Amino acid sequence: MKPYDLIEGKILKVYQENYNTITVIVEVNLKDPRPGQFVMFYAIGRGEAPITIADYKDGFMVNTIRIVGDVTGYFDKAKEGDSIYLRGPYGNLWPIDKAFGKNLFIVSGGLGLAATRWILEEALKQKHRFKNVISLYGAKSYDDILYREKIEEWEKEIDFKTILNTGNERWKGKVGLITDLINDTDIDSNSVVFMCGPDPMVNAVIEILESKGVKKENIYISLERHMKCAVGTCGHCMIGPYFVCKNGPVFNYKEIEYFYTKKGV
Amino acid sequence: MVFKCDITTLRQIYKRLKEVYEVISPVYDNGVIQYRKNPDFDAIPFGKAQMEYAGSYFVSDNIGKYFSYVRPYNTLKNFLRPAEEVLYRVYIKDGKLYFESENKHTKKPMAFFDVRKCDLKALSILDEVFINKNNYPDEYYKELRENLFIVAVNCSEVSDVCFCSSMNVNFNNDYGSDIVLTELKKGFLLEVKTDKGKRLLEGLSLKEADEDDLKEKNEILTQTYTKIKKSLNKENLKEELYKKINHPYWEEIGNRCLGCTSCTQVCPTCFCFDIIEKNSLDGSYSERVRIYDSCFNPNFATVHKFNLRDKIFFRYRHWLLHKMAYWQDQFDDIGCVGCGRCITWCPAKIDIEIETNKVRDFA
Repeated sequence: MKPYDLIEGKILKVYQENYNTITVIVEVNLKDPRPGQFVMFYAIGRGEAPITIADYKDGFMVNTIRIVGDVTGYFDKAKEGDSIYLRGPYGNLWPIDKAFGKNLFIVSGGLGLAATRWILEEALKQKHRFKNVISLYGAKSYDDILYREKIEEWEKEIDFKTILNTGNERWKGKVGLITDLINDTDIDSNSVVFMCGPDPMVNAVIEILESKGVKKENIYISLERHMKCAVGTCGHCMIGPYFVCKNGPVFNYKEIEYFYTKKGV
Repeated sequence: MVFKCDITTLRQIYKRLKEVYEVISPVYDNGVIQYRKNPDFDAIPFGKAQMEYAGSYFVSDNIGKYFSYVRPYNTLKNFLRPAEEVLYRVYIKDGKLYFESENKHTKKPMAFFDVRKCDLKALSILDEVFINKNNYPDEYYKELRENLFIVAVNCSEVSDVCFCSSMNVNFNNDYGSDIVLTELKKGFLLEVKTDKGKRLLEGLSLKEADEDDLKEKNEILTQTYTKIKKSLNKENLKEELYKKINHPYWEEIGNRCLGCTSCTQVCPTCFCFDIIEKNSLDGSYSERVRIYDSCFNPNFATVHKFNLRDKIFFRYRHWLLHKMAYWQDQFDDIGCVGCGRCITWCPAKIDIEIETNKVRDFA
């Protein structure tokens, strides 16, 4: 099999998550996909885009796509029954075992919730293995919230909190930045953190976590970079010596900190 | 097996190569010595001398040897990983896609005639990137690579931009060549390294080399080594460069660098690429084409609207650090072989050897 061979999947369902984001359920036979990994979606004539696997079970994959670019724009018209061509899974995994016996703290911002959804579901299944599971989610506005029904389920099971940058009359919850939520949350300094969100959010959250005594080596972040080949050869996604597609997308913060915090690296 | 032969035999060897392989060798054309598909032994620029300095290149005539030029301006990656190659042709029919990939096996395998040690080392580096240290070996590269025949040539002359001796290039390593050739005062030494090499020479009237010939070869290698004036200090190179990642001097280089991508195009190890789609007007057909890309291209590191390396100095720093430091973490080797091409072809005369030494030695 050549490295760019695509396989066919079938779209079983399409949900409009919000004004610019859809979730698709794709029937596809992937080879042992795991939480943290991603696939490359192909749009004829447009190219490929890396999309995180938001969930996978028995040949059914959940993907959440923000319609922003040329390739993702193709999926705006996606409908049930359509064929979809993709390759993967690629990348490494959320190291869930590192959190066994400890507090697992999952932080996500914006579309980053898609990258943490599957690992959160896994954590819920194995709740007894952790001291506690806490999850915080920050979104721009009420209209940006993803997975509303899922969130309701998660709120019943664990300490799952949502904060919006800007509130409106329909929003009864907190308004502010995700850092405000963390300040209000009792964080055990021995927590293991899984995080995915925009770089400025990640930087701000890490600062607070450190002030609460969380060790850098217990923080894992999932990075988003321009992945073109997904197999560590096109060079586009490099950050310092790391290929995000090959060595990531999940990185131990301590390992990547030196390069992640330098501008233009 | 080590033989000695004259130019007539060399011509015969070339002729035999041509029968089986698509032979790529240096030729002189348009003022430059370049690797090219070349069926003509006489087109090899024997006797030419190559003069190269930062930002300048010229070729002059006869200095009384055959292999007196140094190495072509272009590199072997141009043949193994061409600037443009079709990965797939995609057809759409009744809502379904059909993929067709090119089968290279149907083509004549390639032979490289006259490859220098810097370029052989570069090939071994590309092998690591595309095959050996990749979880998804690149079949396109692999197919061409596995069927390759290589005639290596030991350098006896050097240019002013060469600094391979201070990089990880080993003059005594044959790097998987089938035959290694050294030009002696009289005739050529042929070291046969593989069965493929042996088979090619079968039946030719070759004289076995004696100890004096081997001694002469070793002297040539030593002399070549001492002729190289440039030297890059590799001691703790990675650690030193990492320490200097925020040094203001990068901005100084960035002010001179034009971001033209020249260095990455002539570099024998630069492997970055893009995949573009070439479509028919009605949208029913598309080609997925792999093309060269360069980390100097302004939008190379964009994520959505954000350009992570929006200044030229970020891009120059990324390139140099990749070659000299990141590569060590990625592939346990240095990504530079000291061929000096990037120095010659930099219109701003930026010299990677000088700049690397300079940055690493800052306090």
